[in-house]
Amino acid sequence: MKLTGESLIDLFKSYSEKSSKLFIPDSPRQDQVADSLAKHYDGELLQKAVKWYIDNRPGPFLVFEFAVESREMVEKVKYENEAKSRFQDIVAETRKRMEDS
Amino acid sequence: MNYEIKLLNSIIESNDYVDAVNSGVENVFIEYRDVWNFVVSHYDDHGKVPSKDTVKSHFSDFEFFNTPEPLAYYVDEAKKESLAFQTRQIVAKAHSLIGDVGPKDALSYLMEQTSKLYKYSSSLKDTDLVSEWRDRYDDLKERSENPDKHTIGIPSGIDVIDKTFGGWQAGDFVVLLGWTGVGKSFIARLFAANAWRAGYRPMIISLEMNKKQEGQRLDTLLNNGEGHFTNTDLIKANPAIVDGYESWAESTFEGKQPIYLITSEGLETADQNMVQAKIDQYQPDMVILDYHGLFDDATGAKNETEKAKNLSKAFKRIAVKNNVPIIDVAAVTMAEGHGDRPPELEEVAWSKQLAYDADLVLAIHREFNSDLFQVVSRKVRRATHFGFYLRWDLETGKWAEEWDVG
Repeated sequence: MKLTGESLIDLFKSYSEKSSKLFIPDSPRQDQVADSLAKHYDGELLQKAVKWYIDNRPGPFLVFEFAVESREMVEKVKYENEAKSRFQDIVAETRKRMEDS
Repeated sequence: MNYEIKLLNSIIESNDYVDAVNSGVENVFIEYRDVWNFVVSHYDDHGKVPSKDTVKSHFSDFEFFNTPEPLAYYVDEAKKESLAFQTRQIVAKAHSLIGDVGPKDALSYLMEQTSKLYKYSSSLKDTDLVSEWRDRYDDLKERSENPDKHTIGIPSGIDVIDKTFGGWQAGDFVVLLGWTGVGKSFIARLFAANAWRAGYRPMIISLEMNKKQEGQRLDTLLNNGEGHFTNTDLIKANPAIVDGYESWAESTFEGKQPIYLITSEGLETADQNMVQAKIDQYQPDMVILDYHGLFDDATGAKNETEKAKNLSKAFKRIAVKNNVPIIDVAAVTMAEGHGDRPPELEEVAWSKQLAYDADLVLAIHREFNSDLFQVVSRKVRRATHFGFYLRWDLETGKWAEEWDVG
C-alpha cells in the first residue's frame, strides 16, 4: 500500500472524525511533514500507526506531533503484527501436533 | 518430663542425627534449642552426634534418661507436644488481642500464625525416584488401561490442555492472563465446571461477583447449550423457564459433590492466609482465585507490583503445600491501549516473578463482542507451547474448541 502526504492527511482527518476527536489543520507545515512521513515509512505500517495513535490518545491532533513520535508508533504496530503472527503460528503447530498424536 | 529432653536423649543415644533432621525436628525445640544447636554444630564439625559426656560438659543441668523406644516414636511425641504448646500460645495471644486491638486484628493474627504453624508441622515428603520407579509404572499402566484416567491431573475439559499439559496436577500454579474484560473469569469458571463434571470438588474464591451472579454464570456453563435456559433467562427471571430450570437443576445437582464458592460479601480481608484457611476448611480438589489484583497481601507490600509478586509466590507455595492446583485470574492493564491479541508475558508488571512461580501461564483474548476466544500458553513448565481457539456462546453456555476460524 502506497501513501502520499495528501492521503496521509486525509487519513488523519477521517480517523479523527470517526473517533469524534479534534484534528487541527496546520498548513503549510503539515503538508511537508506528511510528505516526509509517507516517503520514509511503509504505507501499511504508517496507516496502522496513525489509527493506533488516534485511537489511544485523547487529541487534539497535529500531524507534526505525530511525526515526532512516529518511530515509536510504527515500532508498536510492528510489534503487534509480529505478536499476532506468532499466535497464529503456535495455533498451527498445536493443531498439527494434535492431529499427529 | 519435657518432650524436648526425651527427643534429645533419643538422638544422642541412637546417634541418628540424619533421621532426626529428615523428620523435621528442627522446629520442635524451644526450651532446649541451645542444646539442639550444640548437637547440630557438633555433627557439622565432627560428623557424629556428641556423646553424653560431651553434652554434660557443656550443659551440666541437662538430664539423661533411657529411651527404649525407636527415634521415630520420640519424634512423633515431640511434634505433637510442640504443636499443642504452640497452638495454646497462639490461642492465648489471640484471646488477649481481642481485648487490646479488637477482633479483626486478633483474627488476622490467628490466621497468620496458624498458617505458619501448619507449615512447620507438615513433614517433608522426600522420596527416592530411583527406588520408586515401579509406582510410576503402576500409575502409567492403570491410566493406559482406563480411558477416563488418561489425564494425570484434574481434566480441564479442553482437549489441547489435557493432552499437552496433563490437566491440573497437584501443586500446579496456573495463571490466566488477559486484558480487562476479555472473559478470563468465564474461562476460569469453565475449568471449574468441567472439573466438577469429572467428579472433583472445585473451590472458587470470587472477589468480583456476588453469590447470585456466580450461581447464574455456573448454571449457564453447566447448561452447556442444552437449551434449557439462557443466561438472560436467569438474570431476568423468565417465568417460562422456571419449571424447566427446576427439573434440570435437580437432575444436575442432586446427590453430587459440592462446588465451594467464597465471595467477598462479609469478608474483611482476602489475603493468602484467608486462601489457606479456606483450603483447610473445605479441602477442595482445585482452587480458583478471581482475581489476583483484588487480593490483599498479608506481608505488607509497598506497592501494587510488590503485592502481585508476593501473592504469586504465596499462591504457588500454598498450591505445593496443600497438593492442590490453583488457578489464578490476573488482569493486564496498560497505560495506553493494547493490541487485539493475547498479552505477552513481558507486558505484565510482575512478569519475572510470574515466570518463576507459574507452571502454566495462559494468555486469553477476545475481540470486542466476539464469541471467539484466543488462548495461548506464555509459560509451560512441563510441555511445549500450545495455542487454540474456543468458540463460545456466553448466552447459552455452548462452547467448542476450534481450529478453522477463517
